[in-house]
Amino acid sequence: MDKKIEDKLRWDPYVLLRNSEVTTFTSEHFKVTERKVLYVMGSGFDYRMNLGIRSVKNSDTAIDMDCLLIQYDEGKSSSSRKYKPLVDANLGDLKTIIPAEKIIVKHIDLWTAAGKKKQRVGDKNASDVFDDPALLAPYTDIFVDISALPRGIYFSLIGKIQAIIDLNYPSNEKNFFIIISENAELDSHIKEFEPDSELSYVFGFRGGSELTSDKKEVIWLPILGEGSAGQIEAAHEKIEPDEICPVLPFPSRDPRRSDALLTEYHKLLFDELNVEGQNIIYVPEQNPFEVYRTLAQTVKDYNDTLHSLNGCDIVISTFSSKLLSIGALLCAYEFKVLNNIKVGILNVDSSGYEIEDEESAQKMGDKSELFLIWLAGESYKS
Amino acid sequence: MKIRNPFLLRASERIESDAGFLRLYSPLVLDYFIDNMDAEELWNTFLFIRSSPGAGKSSLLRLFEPASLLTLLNRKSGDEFKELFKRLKKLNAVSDDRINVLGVNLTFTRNYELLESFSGLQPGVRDRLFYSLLNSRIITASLRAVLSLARLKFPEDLHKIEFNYKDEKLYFKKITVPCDGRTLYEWAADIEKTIYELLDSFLPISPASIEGHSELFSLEVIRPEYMLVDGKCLFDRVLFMLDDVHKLSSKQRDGLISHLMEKRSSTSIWLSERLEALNNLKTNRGRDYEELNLEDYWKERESKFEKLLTSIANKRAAESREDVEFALDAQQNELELADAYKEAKIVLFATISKLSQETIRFNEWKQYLEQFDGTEQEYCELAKQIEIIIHRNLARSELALEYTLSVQELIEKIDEKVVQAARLFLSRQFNLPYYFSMATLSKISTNNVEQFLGFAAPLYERMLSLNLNQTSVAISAYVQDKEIRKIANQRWKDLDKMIPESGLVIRFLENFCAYCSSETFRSTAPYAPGVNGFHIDATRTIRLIKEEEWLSNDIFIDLQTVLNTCLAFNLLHVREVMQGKKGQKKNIYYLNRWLCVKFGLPLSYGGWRTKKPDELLRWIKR
Amino acid sequence: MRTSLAEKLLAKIMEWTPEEIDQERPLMQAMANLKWNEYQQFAPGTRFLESLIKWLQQFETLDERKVGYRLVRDHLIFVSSEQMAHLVDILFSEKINPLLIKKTAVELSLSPYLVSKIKNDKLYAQNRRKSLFIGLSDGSRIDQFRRGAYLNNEQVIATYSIGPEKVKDMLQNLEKDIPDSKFKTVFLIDDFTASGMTYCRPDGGGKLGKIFTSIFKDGETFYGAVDHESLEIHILFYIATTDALHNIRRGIEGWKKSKGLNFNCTVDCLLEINDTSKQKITSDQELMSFMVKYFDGSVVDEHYEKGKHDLPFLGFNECCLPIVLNHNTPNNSVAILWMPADKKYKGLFPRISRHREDKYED
Repeated sequence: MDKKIEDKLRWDPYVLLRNSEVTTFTSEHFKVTERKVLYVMGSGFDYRMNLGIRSVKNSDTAIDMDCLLIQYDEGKSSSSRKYKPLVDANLGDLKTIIPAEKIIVKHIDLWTAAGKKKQRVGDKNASDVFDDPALLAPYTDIFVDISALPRGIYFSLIGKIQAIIDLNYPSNEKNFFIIISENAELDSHIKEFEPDSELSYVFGFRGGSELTSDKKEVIWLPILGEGSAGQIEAAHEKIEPDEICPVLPFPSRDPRRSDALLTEYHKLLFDELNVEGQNIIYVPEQNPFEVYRTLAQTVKDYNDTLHSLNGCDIVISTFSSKLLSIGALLCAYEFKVLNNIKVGILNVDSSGYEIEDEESAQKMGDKSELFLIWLAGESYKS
Repeated sequence: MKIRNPFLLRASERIESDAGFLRLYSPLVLDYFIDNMDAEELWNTFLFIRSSPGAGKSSLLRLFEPASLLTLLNRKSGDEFKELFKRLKKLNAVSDDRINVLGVNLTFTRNYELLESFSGLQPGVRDRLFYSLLNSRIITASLRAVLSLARLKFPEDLHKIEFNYKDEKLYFKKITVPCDGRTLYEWAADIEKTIYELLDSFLPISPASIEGHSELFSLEVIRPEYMLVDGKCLFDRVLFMLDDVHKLSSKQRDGLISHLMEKRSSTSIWLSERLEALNNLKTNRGRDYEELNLEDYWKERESKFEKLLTSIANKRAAESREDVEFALDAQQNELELADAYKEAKIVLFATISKLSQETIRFNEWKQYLEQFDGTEQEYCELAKQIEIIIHRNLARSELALEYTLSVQELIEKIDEKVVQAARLFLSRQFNLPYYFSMATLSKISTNNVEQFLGFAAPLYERMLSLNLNQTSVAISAYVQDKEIRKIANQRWKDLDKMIPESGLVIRFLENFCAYCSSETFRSTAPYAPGVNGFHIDATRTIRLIKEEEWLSNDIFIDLQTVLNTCLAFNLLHVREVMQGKKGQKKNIYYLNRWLCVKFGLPLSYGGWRTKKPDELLRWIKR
Repeated sequence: MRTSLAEKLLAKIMEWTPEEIDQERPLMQAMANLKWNEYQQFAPGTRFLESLIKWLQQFETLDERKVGYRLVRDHLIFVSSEQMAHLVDILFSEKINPLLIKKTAVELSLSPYLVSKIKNDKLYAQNRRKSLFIGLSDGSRIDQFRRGAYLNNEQVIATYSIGPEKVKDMLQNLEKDIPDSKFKTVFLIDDFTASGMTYCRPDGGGKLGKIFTSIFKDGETFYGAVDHESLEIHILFYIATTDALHNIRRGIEGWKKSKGLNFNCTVDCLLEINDTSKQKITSDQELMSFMVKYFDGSVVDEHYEKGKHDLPFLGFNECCLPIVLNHNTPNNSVAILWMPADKKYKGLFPRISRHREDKYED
């Protein structure tokens, strides 16, 4: 790949830490006592909810930490109601990690209440939580743990915080981290159903493909994961792309995963959507920064190639892990700031989740891997 | 490069819509226009076009876009476009050498709705931005349409358009009009862009910096006389086609419609939207607006639709590198089914004997059956028909006198409906093929080409497979039936992954279909060939709720959700029937025909039962 | 052969029903087009489907053919040229750069997390320049790697067996850029290892043994070009099995001990293949007896016997991999996938072995 872009990439070099590296880091990082942490996380039924905060908090040093707990309700058929005991257990557990008085609860509506057509507004609402820049002021370190946050929320939430930091603390005065507890096996036990009927671009990352006065070729980069044929079709129908570049995880934990995905989707991709084989893009499954680099390069390449057609609009959709989705987010954010190429994000969210085989799922929860993705702060001070 | 199975291909669906699809559809739809209103009325009425998803409303609108009309004008005497051209000429859309109407097509996607729910905007600001966004888009779309009509290039030739409007009402604040097309375009595009930035910014942007409008003046300023190219007026009228209006929030939609009705000018405005359970307007049809329901139009056109599908199938098959035709056996293969019919014959005769053992009334019929000289299949069909008639007779006349009924009486009683019912009953009882042949597949497609392809693609794959190891590619009736049911079952299985509120919807459909099934397969076949629809009788709704408002009442919120989801996802479709005194109109909700397949119901229309809203609600709750 | 004819044959020998053809044919078409056709060791003009047909035909019963087909359909891991190129592409930023940053951090006494500061320091640029990149085989695609990582031509070499002149040249070039300096980090890059046995043998042989000797033994090729004081050696593979990484690390430790040397040396890879794919195969009794039956013992020669070979049909050192690389099939994969065309039973992706004396795996 062409490296021209390298030096201009915002997150290159980057800091990505895994598992024990995270605790090693926090132990060292929080030796400096003046630090004050805001830990933003979601409240949910997911077994992974508290893994991140526990790991950060449990490092040897005492950390001055406030926790901003985002509670959300997915609506009538919502799983958070169905799995209320799990949600409550997680909450109880959280209070053993951090004292209740340090927990600030923010409730977010995912849907508009009024009207006969309900509409997703969770993305905007989540980002509105941080409308007041004074909220971040007292803290030196901000963590956003997305393990128990739905896709419909965390894209805009992270984008918003990053935008505020960029505006108010342009010299990397604040540390900003994303935490993810990743567990592919557990993910495969959580089934989504009842996908949204009206798809929309994520707040903050609407991209340009809906601008009617400035119509460009639309290139779609769907990051593929298992069991999402319905969602992929729905997204395709909404986006109406001129060109599709499926993104496959490689290298990956399971070395056969990209082949297995091709086996799963060959009919959809090649027979139905007429995708060219050479359009396939590979990204490493375990490194969102590399995903970001590859996607950013692809975006730039396409835009350059289509220069005489006035460039292109890009849409990225993530049907895969949260870890990979962060790569998409970084790419979209980068171009949003650069304001030269429009990169939109369109995900297909569901209002229903179901845990298959709760018992073994719970056991799997412990085998999760922790990732820390450092987005702003000391690392990026030159 | 040719591909293996072109029936799977999605993208070419759009290509097909533009050329072939229009070629075949449009003359028919236009007839509907011509039959229902004269040309003047068509252009001067505020017209609603409604249909289920996929039933062709967007294609109809596309026909009036300059690009389509130009193609048509260029090839007007060619065989494929002759008919279409004739009709459009009759409607005054084109003349022999000129396009008379500038069709401006504007599709509403969800981003208007965003404005409505966007936090931090005052309601007044919201409305102003909504109108300015609409004005912006109408103006840019119109300018593009003019270029297209004038065979000019976008965006290079924008400056060649002269926008001649004298801004006496001071609509334009940031540009001076008259001006050229480019200035106008850039001004409008900038409005759209700034509104988007507002809607997409993480950091606060003051809406005050964006030009807000208090009315939809674009419709007023885009007139033939104001849009000149080379000093000339290129067309006689402008047709604004607002597609997918249902995607607006209800507040926006209602606001827009009343705004448009209030401002009624000489402009032609068509609004197209999806058929929903509740989009009644609080105004009078006929006086304030006209309505075109494409579902009604399809009613009469089943054979034409089949022709269309056959032609699509042929074209798709021709695109395959395998050189295999799309062929479905229209007849049952008697050899393949010989055993089944042999068994059925015995069982059926025994059933009739048992039914009639206490009476002499049916002796002649039995004799007639015994002496019947036909194939096994014909014998079985007749036997089933007789069985139904006997059941009806027994049900009605337990105290009737004992005399033998004549064969003549039997034959009179066997009407087409009984024949159809007998076929259905027979297939169910003896596992015989029922859903097969192109005609059936056309019915199953429920006026929806995509749905047709959904069924045709796996069938074609099978033809390819048969071709690979056999000589005949035609799929036998038995296998067709099996495969078609398999596809329907798969669709049903996928439903919870495809639609919102699937729990409610699935429960409702299951209960409704169970009801249809029990009504259909009653031994007397009372609604032959069967039931697959319902009518909602709101007059018999619960106390205290006004008839016209029942559906919006909170008690029925789940029912409303279910009905709208079913309509939006094309699980139910509505047809209007005239019934009772004074030709009273009734809306019948019919199952999409693939659901009929899933639940083994007939594909006919006309079999519906009246239900009260609370009965429907019970199907959801149970 | 025309595709449709090949498909007809395939359907025939697999005795597929129309339903099965519906399922299998589109899959075979897609995978063949996307990946499998690009196998470089097919005879000229041969494509995947023909090879598959020939391969399946040698199995006596339908059940065996079905087992064989299942191996391809459900187990095969084919690494395409595109995938390989991707691995080459990410090697620098995923593996090499973090090592350079870490090294520079230590030298600057900075926290390794301060990546921007470190990268902007001239010491980082120097450390980068003072790195030597050596390809251990053609598969390392070292040229593509160099271009992608924007490295100086004079710090990247395609093979370790080069003459002292070349090394001298490189050193002179380095000194031109940074006076009085030597290489202080050596990156050894190879595409694939499954057993790790050819890299560091207990007897001190193997590729790594040779290179280490060349680096650490006075008078040898690389001896004078490296700064022994702060030397780091990093061995990087695009693809490796967990076992191989383990074996190589152990071999290196053994080598260090036997020579009484200590230096910072790591072994890592981009795509790590653990035991899972092996277990999936060995736990399948049908598949196991199928592979036993269709094995030609003549592939076992003295080199082959250097690995574990109680179950030689599992491939060299019983690695039991289902892997095919686009340019060749490693002999660590199950034998039925790669047995050469002159054997009694032929592999689906026949292997060409080029460096018999030195190389057991690609």
